[in-house]
Amino acid sequence: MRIDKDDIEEILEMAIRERGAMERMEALDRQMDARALAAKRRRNWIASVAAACVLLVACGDATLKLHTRSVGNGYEFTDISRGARSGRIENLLNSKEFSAAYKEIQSTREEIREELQHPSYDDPDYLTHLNTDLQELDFMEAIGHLRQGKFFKARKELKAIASAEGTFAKDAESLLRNML
Amino acid sequence: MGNLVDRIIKGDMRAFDDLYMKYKLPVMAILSKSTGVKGDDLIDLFHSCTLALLENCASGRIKEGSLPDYNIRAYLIRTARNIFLAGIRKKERYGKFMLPLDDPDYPGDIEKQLAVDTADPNYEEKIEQVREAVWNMEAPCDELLMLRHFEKRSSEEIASLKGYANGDVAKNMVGRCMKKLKVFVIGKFEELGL
Repeated sequence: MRIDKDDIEEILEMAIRERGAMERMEALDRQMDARALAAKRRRNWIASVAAACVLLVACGDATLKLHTRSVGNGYEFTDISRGARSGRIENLLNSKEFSAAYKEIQSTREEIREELQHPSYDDPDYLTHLNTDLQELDFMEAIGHLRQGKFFKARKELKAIASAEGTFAKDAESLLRNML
Repeated sequence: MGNLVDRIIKGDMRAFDDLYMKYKLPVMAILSKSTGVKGDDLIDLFHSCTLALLENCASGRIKEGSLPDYNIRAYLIRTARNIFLAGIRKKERYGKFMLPLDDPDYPGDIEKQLAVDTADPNYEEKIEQVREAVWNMEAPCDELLMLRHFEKRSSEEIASLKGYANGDVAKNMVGRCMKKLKVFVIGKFEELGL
């Protein structure tokens, strides 16, 4: 069969569009999978913090006051992620490198705020995810202060999180109750 | 912002990203229930129906204003089901150009391009050769051709992105890459007797 050169060009254009779309879809799949994994890790982390609180109450340490016990026993973070931003912050808090942790929290906060100003994607779920990340940073900062023994500062931060009625409101309320 | 499909027709690939992320999970959930397809095959099926939508936007089969946002999900599901049934009929995995010629959601005119009368016995092999040639393109042609034909960038935009002197240089480079690819594919067809 005689091959018409114009036909080939049109077919090639279709194949090029196909390749472009496939590569783009695969990248989007990876992004969506990473987001889902991050959300799952966040839920696991929250559950572990809540479980640690329950354990403390059950062991009779129901009142967490400005006391070395809160520094020593504190809140246990699960060893969730070594690569993600929240994993780095958790590791720093776990190893009591509080200054470094707060610096990381602040720089991450700035990055996210920048992204919210000029988001890479218009997807509302993506923007919600970014806002949840901001709330998570606030919550981790409060936990850090609590572990550091900065009781009053932590309580003020947790009250703000609880009253904002965001993703971590219930967890903040739970911690506040244990601090009474 | 505008209707997603209209933005895709105008070449806004971020609209394609938005559409993909918005409809992937709900459409896959429905397809899984209605076709029984799961796992990687389900993702492939979703990819195929999204590709069909994209190709129909590029070819003009879907016109601006003809597919509002509230109809996109139904369109994707219908297209995916047709692809699934066509795959069963042809007893192979969900090909990108495998819908029957008379199907309203047919993703392009590729079969018409290659068919002799109503059928070209070698069209599947030709498609595969074309696909292989495109996926094996080397730099900078792969990027240049994607910028031009997938992202629909102008020659001036390509020149700016790639650091060329001006749009004419970019146009020339893109043209040379397409010619190189065409010559390769024609050579392959002749070599294989297609």
